[in-house]
Amino acid sequence: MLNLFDQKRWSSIIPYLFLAPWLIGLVVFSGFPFLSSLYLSFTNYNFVSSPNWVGLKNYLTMFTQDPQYFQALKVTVTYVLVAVPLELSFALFLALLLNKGIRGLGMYRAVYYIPSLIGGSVAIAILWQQVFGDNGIVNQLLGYAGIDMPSWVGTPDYAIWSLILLKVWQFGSPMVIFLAGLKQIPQEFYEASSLDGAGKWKQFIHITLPCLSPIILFNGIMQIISSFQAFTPAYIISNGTGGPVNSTLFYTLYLYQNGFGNFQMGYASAMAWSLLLIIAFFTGLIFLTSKKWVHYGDQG
Amino acid sequence: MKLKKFLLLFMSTILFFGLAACSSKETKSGASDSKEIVELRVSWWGGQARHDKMNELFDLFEEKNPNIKVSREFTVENQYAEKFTTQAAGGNAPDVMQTSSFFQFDFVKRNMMLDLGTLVDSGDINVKDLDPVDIEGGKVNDKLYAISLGHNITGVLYNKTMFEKAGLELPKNNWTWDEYVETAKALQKSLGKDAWATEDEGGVYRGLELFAQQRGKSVFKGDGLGINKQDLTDWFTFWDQMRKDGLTPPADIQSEQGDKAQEQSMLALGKVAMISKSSNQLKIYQGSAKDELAIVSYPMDPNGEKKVPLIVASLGISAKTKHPKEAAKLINFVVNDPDAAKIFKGEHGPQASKQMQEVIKPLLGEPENKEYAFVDEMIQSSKPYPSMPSNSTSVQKLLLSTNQAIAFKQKTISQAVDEFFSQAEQILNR
Repeated sequence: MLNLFDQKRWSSIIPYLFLAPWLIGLVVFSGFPFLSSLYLSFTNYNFVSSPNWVGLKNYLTMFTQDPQYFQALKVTVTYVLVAVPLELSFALFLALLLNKGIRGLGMYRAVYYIPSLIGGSVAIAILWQQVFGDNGIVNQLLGYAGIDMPSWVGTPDYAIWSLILLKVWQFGSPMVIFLAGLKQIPQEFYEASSLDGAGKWKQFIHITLPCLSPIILFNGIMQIISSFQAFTPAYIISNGTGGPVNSTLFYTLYLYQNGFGNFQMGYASAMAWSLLLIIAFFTGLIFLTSKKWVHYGDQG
Repeated sequence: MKLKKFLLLFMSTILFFGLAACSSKETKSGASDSKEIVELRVSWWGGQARHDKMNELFDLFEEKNPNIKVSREFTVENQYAEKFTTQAAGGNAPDVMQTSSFFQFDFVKRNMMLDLGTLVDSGDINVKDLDPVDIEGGKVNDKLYAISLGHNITGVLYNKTMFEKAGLELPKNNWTWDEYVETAKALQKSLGKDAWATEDEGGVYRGLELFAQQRGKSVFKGDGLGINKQDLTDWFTFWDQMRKDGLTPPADIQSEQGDKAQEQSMLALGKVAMISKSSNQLKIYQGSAKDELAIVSYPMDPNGEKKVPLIVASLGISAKTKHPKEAAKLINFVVNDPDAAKIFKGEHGPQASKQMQEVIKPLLGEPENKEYAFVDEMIQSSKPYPSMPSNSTSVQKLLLSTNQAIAFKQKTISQAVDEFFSQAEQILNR
């Protein structure tokens, strides 16, 4: 018989009661779909008849018989390896400029942050399609300079670059985090080093970067995860095809085509789980190497 | 102290159940009697002009049937099937949905559509006045699943003004492939550098299907491919020659075009003189084009099969609907009510009912008259659209990217054909 007024028991349960709505939400809306998709990835499921068990067939098809899968992987990894370093360097560069104590810092910070808020939206993707089109602003400007370029979004070698630029343009959120990190670096370091005759560049290499390294790690991992999951820009700019010639066939876009275009939910689930492993591999790699290059203040 | 604990517990319980109550919404369902308002969900695809038309149509239906409320869901064509199938999988498909020759085989295979036999027998849907070709077009495996809203035949929409400027005779129905190429070359001479005779259609499934049918085949056969490597090689070679002769836009401009809306299409903007589309698209393109447009049949092989496939746009009823009678009433209203016809005005091509065609005849504009004349002539030698396997949409996408790979010179034609066949078979066998 449970004593309703047993203080000890209640004091341990009450926090969970308050958390209950979120916990139930997590189990029902995240946990359950998560495990369902794991189960579905071993089945052949077309949305209508019940899933039937095919074991590892989806994974085998993916890795042995589907050239489009490797194309999607290639496009996505290229995108991540090029766009993330570019974006982070650009964000850090601007954060350093803004950290010089210019007037109207708040305004700059807000303006530069806007693209991060809207960059993933459909409207911006449509705008991008226009800007980098055959008669877009970019080509018109290049035309004045006497450079004749084909349509960026319509040419296989350039289409991915328009998407990379779109990603770099969203430098605002890592920039704001870098700015906060720069504010944390004690001024004494710089004063002491300049007395010892270190120039700006030396200070940047030996003080700023090491002190910022935890922030770089955080930004890096966040951006890598979000880049692997990029979908909207490629979907809109290529009209859902991943074209021209599959040059913008992002992993998520190919997953979507399989799931909702072909109704091969089993295959799409298998792709989703493979993506999870791929992202885990990359973040794991960064964490393992982080011991070498990330310095936390308390390590002396 | 005890009281405080009890209050905490009490409040957290309230909070929890309060949240739960917020998120659940009671939905009405079950048998409908005459007093109760029945809600019918209807979905369709199209552009803004069509949405306005459909809304007007269903407002009138609600006026005539005060006990039925029509809630409307609409989207663009290339996302329609994805949305509808997802809804059906989740068990909340709309009661009535638009479908067409391109979708119905897939929808029926997935058990999403109701066999309309009993509703026709009971007289809820009156098909007496409908043209037999339309009835045939709504059948899958000899059972009626879809009621035609109108029928179409693929033709070449062309810019009449450009033909006149070039001093060319207007093309005639049943023109040959050779005449098509000669015409394109003559057009190109007068168009100069910033416009082209035709879009590059080597990646368009619809064109390849007609090309295959003229050889007595079809792109798909059962659950596999119905064409052989030679057929596809001939098709790609034809379009490659068109590109080399400068009769199509460069590859980058063509791929940027994608499937942009009619008002942003190269035909409407005067950048190309010809594209192949369903006949009912003529009025829609004309709505956003400066020049005068017209329609002619797709090029023919003079020694080949002459029957053209009929494309039917239609309405069907969801297999899981709770209101089959009301859904049938709505469909019957759209296809057989003169007031509905006056609003609808043959949006999807000439309507199945000859009587309705008579009703709207005085209301039609110039583009519709051209379209009707074209369809009436071509329908004499038509046949139902062949069925397609599941996953056919992916093969259609593959055709597009294969043609692009040739256009961008990333692959030779024979390489591209070999890869197309191995990938298409792999997709269809998955």
